[in-house]
Amino acid sequence: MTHESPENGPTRLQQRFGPRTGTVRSDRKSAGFGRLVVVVYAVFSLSAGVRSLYQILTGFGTAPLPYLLSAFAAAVYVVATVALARPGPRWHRLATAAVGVELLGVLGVGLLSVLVPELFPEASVWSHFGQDYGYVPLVLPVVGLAWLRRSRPRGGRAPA
Amino acid sequence: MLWGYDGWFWAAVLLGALSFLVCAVQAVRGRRPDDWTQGSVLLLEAFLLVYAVGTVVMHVLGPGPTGSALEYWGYLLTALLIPAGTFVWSLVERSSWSNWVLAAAGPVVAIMVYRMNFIWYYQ
Repeated sequence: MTHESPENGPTRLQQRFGPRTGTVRSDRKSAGFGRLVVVVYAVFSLSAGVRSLYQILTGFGTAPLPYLLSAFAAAVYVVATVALARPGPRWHRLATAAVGVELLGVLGVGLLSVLVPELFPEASVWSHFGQDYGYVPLVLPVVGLAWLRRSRPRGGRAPA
Repeated sequence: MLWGYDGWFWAAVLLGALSFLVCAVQAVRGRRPDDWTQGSVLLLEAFLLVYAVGTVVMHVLGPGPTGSALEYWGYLLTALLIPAGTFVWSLVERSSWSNWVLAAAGPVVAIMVYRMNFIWYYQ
């Protein structure tokens, strides 16, 4: 996957701003495709967090349940982002738990918002299975769990 | 105003699409991030800084957004973080996957500017 410099373009920006020595500590979970997963989770942490903060500050009284759920979703995304980026089996377990909660959340809240729409006068990140966000909240935990399974730590336990 | 959106929006679409194309092509070719792909997100960042200054000027001279100014600035500050964040990422992760991360900045910035256009004129 990594090609050496002859086929790469000029890297003046890398030389000017890049880290001087070595690489940052990471494992399989947070390298390669995992970086992409972490970035998508970081973007969702940011957008869900900013949106829920805005909703809670401006109109908490009008729709407390969806706004609280938005804040909870944002917190889950933050935990998942950090756990995905950190090396080691314990972070792998925490990441799996957070992404699992995310999947249950988007399925549960999505179902609830379809069956009992009067509970959701305002949208939350997970209502209607993440419709407002192009259904990415529904796809993301499935991709996340598949990636965590592929990149699970070796050693200790024999691979299944 | 073209199809209901202003020059800022179309400039963001153009720059975002160019940046996406450059980064996606380099990622497909298996290249590591270089000046072209990293530079394209820095160009997006520069555009957003000009956009932010333009917003301040338009706030002072005109009536400001028809929608919520708080929401508008929330989007703008978030948008400002995105190209900068992907750039920092590409400095650390030196694989072709980083070019996909860089490629994401363009479309995301275009969508954020679309949302800001909507809040400014129609909300």
